[in-house]
Amino acid sequence: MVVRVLSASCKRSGYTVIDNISFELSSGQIGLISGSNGSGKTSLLRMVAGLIPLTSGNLLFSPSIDQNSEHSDGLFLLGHSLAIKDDISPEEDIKFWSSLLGRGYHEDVLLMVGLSNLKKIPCKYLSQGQKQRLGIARLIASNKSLWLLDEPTSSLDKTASLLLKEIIEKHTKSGGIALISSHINFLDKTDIKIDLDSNNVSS
Amino acid sequence: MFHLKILLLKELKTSFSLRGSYILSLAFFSISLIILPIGIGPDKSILSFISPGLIWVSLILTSLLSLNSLFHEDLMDGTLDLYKNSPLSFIEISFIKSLSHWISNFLPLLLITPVLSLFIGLPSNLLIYIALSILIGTPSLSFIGSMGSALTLTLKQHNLLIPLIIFPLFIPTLIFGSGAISSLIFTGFEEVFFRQMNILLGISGLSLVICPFISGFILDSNYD
Repeated sequence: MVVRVLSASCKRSGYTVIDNISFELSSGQIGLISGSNGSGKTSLLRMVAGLIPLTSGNLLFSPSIDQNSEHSDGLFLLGHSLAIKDDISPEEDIKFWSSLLGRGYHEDVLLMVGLSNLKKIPCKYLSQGQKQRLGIARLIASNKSLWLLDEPTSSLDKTASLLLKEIIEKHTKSGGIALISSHINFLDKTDIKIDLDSNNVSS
Repeated sequence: MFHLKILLLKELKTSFSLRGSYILSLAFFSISLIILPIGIGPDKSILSFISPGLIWVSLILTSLLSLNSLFHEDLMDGTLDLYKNSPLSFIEISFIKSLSHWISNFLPLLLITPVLSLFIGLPSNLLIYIALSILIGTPSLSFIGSMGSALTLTLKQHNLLIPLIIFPLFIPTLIFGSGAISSLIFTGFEEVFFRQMNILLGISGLSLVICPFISGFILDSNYD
C-alpha cells in the first residue's frame, strides 16, 4: 500500500493549519511528524484519516499489489480521544473493535500490552496509561496496514513506550505503514521526517 | 449483517449499563405520570378522559431527555472517528443507534405503564390497547429524534435545540397515538382504534426506513 499526500492544504475556520505539504509513504516505511503545539500535527493525521476535508491538494491511497499481505488495506487512527466506554471491560472492548475492524478476537493482544489481568474490570477503573495500552491493543487487533498515531507515547511509561516501538517496527517489517506525530523521537529510525514548523519534508 | 449485530449488542450493553439513560427515562416517565394527576385533581372522570394524552405527552418528553446523547457522546469520546473508518456507514450506524435507543428507552416504559395507568385512572380494559399504541408508535420517536440529534451534533447548545427542531415532527405520532386511545374511550369501537393504529404503523414504518438515511447523510456532512 502507498499513501501519497500531494500539496495538501487545510484551513480550519479561515486559519491555515496545513500549508502545502507533500510526502509519500509506502509499505514498510515510518513517517514522523514533528512540530510545536498548534502546528497542525493532529490536523494532518485527521486529514489523512479522512476526518477533516482538504481545502486543496490530493490524498491518494494505492492498494497493495501483494495479495498475501498480512494486513488489510485501510487505516486506524489512534488519537487523543480513545473512544473507551466506562462500563465496557477491556476484553469486551477489544472483542468489539477487532470484530468490527479486524479479523476477530485473539487473547494475545491484551497479553501483549499487559492488560490480560485487568481484562474483566470496567474501563472506568483503568488509568490513562492503561487506556492508552488498550488503544494500542485495538491498533494491533484492527489489522490495518496504515497506522496513524497521534502522540502515542503520551501517558505511557518507559516499558510501554519501548513495547510500542517494537510493535511499530514489527508492523512496518511485515509491510505496514506508520505515520506518527510525536514531540519526542522514541523511534530508532524514521524514513520520512515531516517538520510542520518549517513545513519541511526530509527523508 | 454480522457487523450490524455486534454494533447493536455493544450499543445495548452500553445503554443498559448502570450509567445508561434508560433509568433516567424510566424515572422521568414515572414521575411525570405520578405528579400530573396530583396537579389535575382527584376527579377520576376527568383523569380517565385525558389519560391517553397524558401518557403520550409524557412519552414524548421522555424521549427528548435521552435523544441528546444519541450521537453526542460518541462524538466527544472519539467513537465516531473510529466508526468513520469502519466497514459500517453512518446510515447503518444511525439505524442501529436509533433501534437501540428505542429498545433501551421505550421498551422498559411498556413494562411499567400498567402500574402507572392506575395513577391516571386509565380504564383497565384499555391497557392492552395503550400498550399496543406505545409499541407501534414509539419507534417513530427514536428514529425521527435521531435526525435532530445528528443535526445538532457539533453545536454547544444541542440539548436545547433538539426539542425545537424535533417537536413539530413528533406531532403526528402524538395525534394518532393518543387519538387512537381517546377514540376508543369516546366511541368504544375497536375499528376506529385500529384504523388510527394503521396510520401510526405507517408513520413508524416510514421513519424507520427514511430517517436513518437522513441522519446518516447529516452526520457525514456535519463531520469535521
